[in-house]
This record gives sequence, structure tokens and C-alpha cells, in this order.
Amino acid sequence: MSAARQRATRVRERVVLRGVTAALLAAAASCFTILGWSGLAVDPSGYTRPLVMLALLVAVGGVVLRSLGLPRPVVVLLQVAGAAEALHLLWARDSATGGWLPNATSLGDVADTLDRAVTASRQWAAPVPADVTSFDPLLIAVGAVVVLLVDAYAVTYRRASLAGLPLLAAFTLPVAVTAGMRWDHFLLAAAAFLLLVAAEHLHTVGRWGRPLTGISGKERADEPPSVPTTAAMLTRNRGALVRVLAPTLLLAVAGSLVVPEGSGIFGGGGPGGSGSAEVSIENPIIDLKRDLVQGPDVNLVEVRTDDPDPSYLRISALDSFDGNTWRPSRRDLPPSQRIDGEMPDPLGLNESVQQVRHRYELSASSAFDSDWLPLPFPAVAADAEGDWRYDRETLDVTTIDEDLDTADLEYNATGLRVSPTARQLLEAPEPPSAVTEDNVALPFEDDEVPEWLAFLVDDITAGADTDFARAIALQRWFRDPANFRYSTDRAPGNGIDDLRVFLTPGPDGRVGYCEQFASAMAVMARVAGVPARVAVGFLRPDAVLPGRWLFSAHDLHSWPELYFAGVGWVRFEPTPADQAPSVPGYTAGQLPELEDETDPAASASAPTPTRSLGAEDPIASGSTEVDTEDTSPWRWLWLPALPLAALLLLGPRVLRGRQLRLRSAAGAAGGDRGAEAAWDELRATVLDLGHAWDDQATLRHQQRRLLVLLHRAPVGSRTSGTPSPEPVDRVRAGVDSVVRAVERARFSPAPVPEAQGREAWARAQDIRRALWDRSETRQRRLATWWPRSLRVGGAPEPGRTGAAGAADDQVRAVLEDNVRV
Amino acid sequence: MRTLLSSLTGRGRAFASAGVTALASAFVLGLDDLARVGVLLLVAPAVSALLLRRFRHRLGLSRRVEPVTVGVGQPVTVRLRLSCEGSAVGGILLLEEQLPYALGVRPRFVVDRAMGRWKREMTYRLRPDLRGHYTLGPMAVRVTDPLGMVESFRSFTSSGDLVVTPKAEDLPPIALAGTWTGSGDNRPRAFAGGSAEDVTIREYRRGDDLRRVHWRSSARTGELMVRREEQPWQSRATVFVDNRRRAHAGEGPASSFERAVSLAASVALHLISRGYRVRLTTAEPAGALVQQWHEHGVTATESAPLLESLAVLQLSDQLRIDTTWATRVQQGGLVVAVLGRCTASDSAALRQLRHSADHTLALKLDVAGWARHAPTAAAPRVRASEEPLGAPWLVAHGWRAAALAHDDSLPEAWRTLGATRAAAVRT
Repeated sequence: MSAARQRATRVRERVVLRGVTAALLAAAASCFTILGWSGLAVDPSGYTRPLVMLALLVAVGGVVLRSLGLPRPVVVLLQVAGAAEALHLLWARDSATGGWLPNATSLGDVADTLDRAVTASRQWAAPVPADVTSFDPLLIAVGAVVVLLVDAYAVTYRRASLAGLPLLAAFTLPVAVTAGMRWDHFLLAAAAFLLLVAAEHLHTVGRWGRPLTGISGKERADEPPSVPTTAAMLTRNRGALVRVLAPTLLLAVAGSLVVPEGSGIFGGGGPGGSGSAEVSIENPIIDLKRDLVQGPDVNLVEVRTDDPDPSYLRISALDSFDGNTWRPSRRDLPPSQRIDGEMPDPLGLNESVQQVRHRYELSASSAFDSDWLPLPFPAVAADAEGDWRYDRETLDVTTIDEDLDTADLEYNATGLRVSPTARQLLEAPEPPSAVTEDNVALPFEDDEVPEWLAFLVDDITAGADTDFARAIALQRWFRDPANFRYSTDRAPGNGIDDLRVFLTPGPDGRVGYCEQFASAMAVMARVAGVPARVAVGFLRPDAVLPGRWLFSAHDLHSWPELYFAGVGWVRFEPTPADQAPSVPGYTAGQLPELEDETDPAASASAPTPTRSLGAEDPIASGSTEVDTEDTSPWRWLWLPALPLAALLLLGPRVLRGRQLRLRSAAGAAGGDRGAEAAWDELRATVLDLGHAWDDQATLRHQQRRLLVLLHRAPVGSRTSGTPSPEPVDRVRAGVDSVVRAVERARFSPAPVPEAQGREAWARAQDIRRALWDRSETRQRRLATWWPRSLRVGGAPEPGRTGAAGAADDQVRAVLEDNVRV
Repeated sequence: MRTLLSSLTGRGRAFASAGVTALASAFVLGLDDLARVGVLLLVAPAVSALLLRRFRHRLGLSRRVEPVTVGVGQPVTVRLRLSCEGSAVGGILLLEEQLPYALGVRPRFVVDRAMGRWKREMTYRLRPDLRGHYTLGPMAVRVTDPLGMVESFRSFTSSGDLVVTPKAEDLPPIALAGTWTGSGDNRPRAFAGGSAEDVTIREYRRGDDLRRVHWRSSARTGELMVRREEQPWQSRATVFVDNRRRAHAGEGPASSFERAVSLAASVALHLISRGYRVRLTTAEPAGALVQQWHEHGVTATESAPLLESLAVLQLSDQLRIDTTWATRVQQGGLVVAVLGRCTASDSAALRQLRHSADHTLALKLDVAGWARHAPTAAAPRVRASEEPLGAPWLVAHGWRAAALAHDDSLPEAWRTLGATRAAAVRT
């Protein structure tokens, strides 16, 4: 062996990278969990990509720092600093000194970025639209904390199971906010976490003793024991790992089945397969285009009715607009609203309006998978099997039972054909505030309707002086072939930005299909102050037999409903004649002249409308545009507190365990340190178990104290697996030998021989066990979870100075045959 | 079920309880994704426990200690052969040999991929620092799973024995019986003569005259053999070790008693090599004594039992030296006493010892030198009436005695002993 090669070996030893496998597994676990956040935004790459990069950075940095042999807290601090600098570069590179050094301005920028992100998180419901990039920094910051915590726990401090806490917190984020995590993401994250746990355990096992490798492998004693790498241990035990992980992961992924549908409308379930010939409707407007155009024209609902024209079978009403999409508002569905025959009277409908009852027998085909029950509007009675519940205001019917859908469902309904006259609509009084409150709200900042939209609405409705006149003006404007062209070759979307493109003349402008027409008209009606919402349903069936009609996938349609007092919600049809040839009767023809005197009560009783949109601040009230899901950020804030609480709970125990391990190491080393460690441990045990210990007393006095404690009878026997209680005499002799070793360590100039120190530590363990055996369960539990020795010092035992007599007698009785003086 | 639960480690229990909590919250909140976490946390320890339960193995272990008897500081190799006729389910075996603390760190072995039928060999080495009789083993086995969720403890029952004999030093030859033959080798009476046919042979030992080598036998056996010219009957020597606790000071390996045992071993081996039949006696009554005369024959076999008895010699709580052996057995021969602290109450016993033999030699340990290192422990105050009887007293009473302090070397003291003449008390 040449000197050069020796040097080479040494160099290789010095730069050898430690904990690569664990670091990579930790990064993988973090990344996969964070990938589960992809449901929080339409375009999740804005935060997943930086976070994956950050996880890699933290992992690689950690490996390098740990391999340099830096102390653990330093490693963690440097990782935090590195991650913070990376985020700083990401958010405030322009204002930083020299392009990287933080200064007051750049830190202010970072704070602003986060502030905007928090604001955005309050403003937008998940999934946040792709163009709202100000939202991403919040998730990046939260994700960075998760990544750092997981790496610190699992790799730096080798406590892989504790890394489960930040991972769990990260996991609960999508669960609490959106439908949850995709099963494949969950599978990957869970596998990475379990492998991380296995890596830590195998790491410990590999260092516990000399590994015997290979079957029938002989191992030579003179070889220095080589410690296998974690990767090698994982590879070697892959068989056993697969046996444990495979059933665990399979059962876990299937685990979501054990929970019955409890609450929430959109709870769980992945999107239905769009490639199959099934039509699945969850958020109706989002699924509309896909079902309308892309799918095959399968038959969905068959209707038997005496209604001569059963058009406009409504599935759902979307009464909430958040700037991004129309969606059903949060429904409050108590069990009392199960459909069971009668349904409540349609909102705002007067007896004076002409109405005809029709009975419907409906049967949905097996290909129709909807959480919503298609019904004529307004329905006054319905009866279906299963837990279907109606909403009082919109009269649409949905289910909270996740397993329930419309496939193969047969049900009955009674619907009204309402035929108001144009006059009735024209003379409608002001709608009640209960209706306007929720149905004219628009998600514009400071209630400022964008100028282009306000001008457009003013332009179209110029000269119209009633709500109905304005509605008619809007409908005519949309249906005018000179203005709009019907085409399904358009990307779905009904957000404000989509509408702007749709409403503005241009290459892509003024082209769309029912989704755009309906939502644009609803928005513009709201701008004009008319309560409006979007309905989704079927347009016109094909007649198969007399009295039997068939709705198919391509009949899916969307239309606006506007509210008029005295008539209720009234259907309009802005979609051009290509798709919807006819308009409702009351909107056709000339508008009758408004005669003020015919209904003086109506106009007199109606107060002067103050329909400025500033009446309600939708953002400040925080409920209007995000109420389909609870995205209040306060709901998330307790999640990171979970690990904190767990730390508080486990902290003392972990600290005490660490102390014991350190002492055990000292004890194994023997000598002076071993003897002192043994004594310290005895002191701590006595204190932990709730007994008194006097730090000021002499060793011999403390020894007597120990002997008195040992004089008690053991309480029961401890759990199996530990050796039976030591013979009492041996334990007492042990006390003697520990005390001697300590005396020698403290008072003798020569050091305690190593073997004696080791012996003292071993004896101390026997005594410790004996002390535990002599304690009540409660004391043991306290000693385990809330060790007193970490908090209190030793105080003189109570009553020692005064009542020396009796106690000393007892002591002497105990001592007689144990201590040779 | 109970055993299943009790086999869970802290981690396993933490996982299981976290899993139950997560499942409960999932039911309460209706979050099916949380249920996945709950099932994951609950199933991982359960599957591990079930697999470990299925891990039925028949483990066999044989242990070979080489050599069985060893001197202090000499290496010992222990070979273990582990065989398993197990099931296909793998666990990780953590084996720990149970060793007395005095033998140092317990050897530990890890056997992973322990599936099916296999056989493995392992060895570990010891270098014991303390004399004594040690039990090696039994081997404790911990079976664990790769996730560290469960653990079960088992133990083999077999164990091995190891005798660590005290350290012995080579001593210079001195005139033992007080007579100088002038040959430099004061062996027991020389062979009385006779024809060559009567000559028996024995193996060569250090110090034998080269002229006595029996070349023919040497050629036949392949080992150096010498003519045996000693008498067929042997001179007898008794080595007495004072093993009373009160006579010694210090603790453990650094005590004066350990030194006394080492001296006794050196002296006994020296005497054996000088052709004496040696027996060992202590201060304890006859029952505890090593009373046999160790046969003077082949060195290795004859010294072994003696060293083994010295290896396990313990301090006794006896207050007086028991001298019944001195009165009971045949008189004559040589007594070498290794003495600790002697008080006035011992004078009678020492006188009796002196009278039991023709020649009495004493190595007197200056015990105070050991006591200094542990002033508080086991250092009885010496009262005025119990003045120790030192070497001068022994010499005055017909012993040939040499004092030995803490740092003195034995060969020096032995040489001094050879030079001392006892006072002619007894004629």
C-alpha cells in the first residue's frame, strides 16, 4: 500500500457523501405531496415547478453540508438561508443589491408578493385560474416550509416518522380546500414516505451491528466491519419491503372507500372518463362543452309527459359568478329538503300568471351520470329514489350522497308551464332585496364595473326604462345575426376575460356557443341591475312516440334566467337561432306600452331603486364569489399548528430519550464519565418518578435515599419482553458499586477504570428498572411523557430535617446488611 | 391480538394511533382522502406485525470458543454458526451476544434477507482484561421488520464458557529450600542413577540441561524430549493466597488482591516448572480450597487446573486465616505465602503456617499502596492494637519474606526473597 494510495483513500473518505438516499427520498416525498396541490389552481406549474426545484436544492445542499460534518442545527440553518435566498431571487431579483443580496427594498417586495398572494387566496376559489399568478407565492412559501421541515426531520435528524407531520399538513391542504389529492399522487407520496421510514430504520439497523451479507457468506473477523449504505440496505431488503409496502399502499388507496359520503356537494371522486361514452355532470357548465360537442350523441333522458313541448329540462342553476366561472352557490341541504312529493312554491310566482301543470315520468339512461336531477322548471312536485334534495331558491335538485347519481334512475315530477304576458313582466315591481342580494353581485374590485362592459350595457339598453325592456334589448342584441355567430369551435370559458373576448368584435370576438351567450347575458343583466343566473339543462327533445321524448347529449344547453317580481325566475334565450330557433313567447313581438296608472300600487309601493353595485362589497364580505367551497385562509392556518402541537406533546419525551442515549454512550465508554452518567441517570429517574432528591446532600445520603426507595415492594410486574425484576439484594449491592464508582470519579486523582465505569452504568440500569418496578402506573406514565427531571432541580426531601428519627430507623434497617461501613 | 399489539415498537404504536385518529376524523369530517392517510398509517404496522408473526423460523446456533482457557490480555476467538430453516417471509435478525460487562462491548450482528434455509458463520474476538470465569452468551435475538414497526425478542439458551487465567510472570530461579547446590538449578533430588533402560522421558522444558536431551525419542516424536532424571516422587509445595477482604485494599482490577492472585499464579507456575507438585490454599476453610496436588507432568495440563482455580478466586469475608489444612496434611515441603495486610490476630495462624513446613517463604504486599487510590472505599482504619505484621516480623519468626509495594516488580522481589535468610528460630 503506497503512501499515495493511502492518501487517496483518506481523501475519498473525507468527501464521501452521506445520506444521499434519504435526502432524495425526503425530496421525493415532499414533491409528490406538493404535486397533490395541483387541484388548487388551473395551472399548477406556477408553484409546483419552483417547489420541485427548491426540494432538489434543499436535498443536494443538505447532502453536501452534512458530508462536510457540520453540526445539525448549522445544516438546518444554512438550508433555511439557502431556500430563503432562492425565493428572494425568485420574487425580488430586480430590486436586490447586486442582483442577489437582500436589501430593504427587495425584502419589501417579497413581503408585498406574499401579501398579494394572501389577498389572492381570499379572492379566488380553488382552482385558481391560470392567469392569477399572484396566488402562487403563497403556496411556494408554504411548500418551502414543508420541504425544509421534511428534510430536517427525516435526514438531518434521522426522525423519518416525524417527517410525516409536515407531510400530513401539506396533504390536508388540498383535502380541506378542494376535492383532495389524486390517487396516483397519493400513492407516490405514500410510497416515498414509507420508503423514507424504511431507509431510516435500515440505516439504524445497518449501524447496529456487523452485517452478515450473502447467504452462507463467511465473514472474516480481521476485516474492518464495513457499514453498508442505506441504498444497499434498501436494495438488499427489497423483498421484505415489497411484502409490507404493496398491501399497505393498495389498502390505503382503497381506503377512501371506507368513508361514506358525509358532507359537501363536490366531495371526492375524480373526473369521469371523458373518453368513454358516458356523460358525467358535476359542475354543469364546466362539463357542458365536453358533453355537448366532444362526446357521442348518446341518449340520456327519456320523458313521458302530457306536455306538448317539454323543452328546457333544467339540470341546475348556476347562481354564483366569481369572475372566473358561473357555478352553483353553496347549497344548504338539510334532510328536510328531501324530495318526497311536494316541492315548495316557485319563488315570486303569482297566481295571476297563467300556469299549466304537466306530469312527467322521466328515466335517465345508464350513460347519464349526474349529481343533479334534470327537472322541468319550475317543478312543484318530484319523487325519486335516493337521497335527492332540493334547494329552496333555485329549485334544482342534487344529492349529497357521493354514490348516488342519475344513472338508470326513474323518477316522477310535476312541472309548471308558466306563460307570463309581456305586460306582467313589464310592470313587475322592484325585486325583493332577498333576491337582489345574491343575484346581482359581480366580482369586480371595488364594485367598479369595467368601463368597456358598463358602456356596452348602457349602449344596448339605451332607451329601455324597465328591467324587462333591458332584458329584451339584451336578448335581441345577442340574437341579432349581425352581431354574433354561433360556433362550438371555441374554447370553453365564461370568466370575465373570456366574456371580454366574446363581447368585443375581433378575430375571436362575437363567436361562441350557449355557454358564452348565457353567461354573457346573465352578467350583463346583472350589470343592468336585473337579478340573473345561468341555467344548464337540455334544450329540445326528439319525439320518439306520441307523449314520449328523448333528450340526448347534444341537446345539452345553457340559458339565462332573470328574476321579475310577481313572475319569478323567467327564462331568456340569447343563443342565436342556429341552436335555439325560438325564443320564449313573452319576449317575442313588440313591447306593450307601459301604463303607469294600470298598476299604481306596484309603482307606488316600489321604492326608488338604488341598484348601484356598491351596495355590497363582494370581496370584503368574502362570501359571494367563493362560497361554493370554503376557502377561507383561516381554515388552513390551524394545519401547520398540528405538527407544532405534536412537537409540544412529544418534545419532553424525545429530549429525555436523547439524554438517556447520550448517557448510555458515556456509560458504554466507561471510566469517570460512565460513573457520572450512571449517577446522573439515577438522579433523573428518581426525579422523573416523582420522588424527592436532594442535590445538596452527600453521596452517601443520596445512596440511602435510593435504598429507601428500593426497599418498597415492586408494583405488579412490568410488560413482557423485559427481564424479570432483579433480585433485590443484587440491586442494592448495585447501588453500592455505583456509589463507589462515583466516589472514585469525584474524589480520586486516578481515573476510574473503564470497566468499572461500564459496570456502574450497567448496575445503574438494573436500579433504574427496579425503581420503575416500584412505581405506580401513573408515575411511570408521567415519567415517560413529562419527565420532571428536565424541569426541576433536586430539592431537599420534605421532612428530612425534622422527622429524622423514624426515617433514619428505616434507613438503618435497610442498610444493615447492605453497606459495609 | 395482544401479542400483536405488544410486539409493536414505539414507532408502530405511533403510526397505529395516528392512523386511528386520522380515520376517526375522516369519518367525522367526511373526508375520504384523510381516510387514505388513516388506512396507510394503520395498515403499515398491522401488515408488518402479521408478516413478522408468519416469520416462523427454527434457528440453530453453535458456539466454539478458541481457546477455552486464556491468559489475561490474550486474544480469544469465538466462532458462531447460525443456521435457519425458516419460512419464505423475511425479517431482519439483530443478534447480540450477551457478554459480561468486563469483557467489553457486546458483539452485534445483523442478518437481513433472512429468508428460507440458510447458514451463516460469524466470529468475534475478545481480549479479556480481567481474570475470571465468564459465560459467553446466550445470544439474544431481536426480529424486526424493514419499517421498524414491530419487534420481537427471542433468545437462544446455549452459552459458552471462557476461563481467563491471571497474568503470570516468569521468575528467576532462586534457592527455594534454602540450600544452594551450586549447579544454578536447585531442583529436587537428582535421579538416583540406574541403567538407561530405567530412563523415562518427558518433554523439554525451559531450563533443562541440553545434555539431558534424549535424541532418539526426540527423533521419534518430533518434539524435543529429555531424560527424566528426577525422582519418581515429587517435592511438594503449597502456595497460600490470603484472600480475606480485610487483608486487601483497592477495587476491581486495580486492587491488591488481583496483584496477590497474579503473584500466586507466577509463583505456582514457577514452582511447577521447577518440578514441584503444587497445591493452592486460601484463607477459607477446607471446603473452598483447591486441595489437590497438581501433578507434575506435562506442563500445559498440569498448570491448567491450578490457573483455572486462581481465575475464579474471590475475596472472602473470612476474618481469620483457616489453617486446618496445615495441620491435617503431611508435614514437610515448601510453603509460599502471598500475604496482604496482617494484623496481630493473624500471628497465631502465621506461626502455625511456619511450623507446617520445612521452608516458608512469604511475599508480603504493602497494601496501603493500593488503598491510597481509593481512600474512602473499603479502607478500614487500623487500630493501634492491630498493627500489621510486616516483613520484619515474618523474618523474625522464621520466614523468608520480601515486601512488595504497589510499583515493585515481582522478579526483583523474588530475587530478594532468594537472598534473605530466615532467622533461626526453629532448628
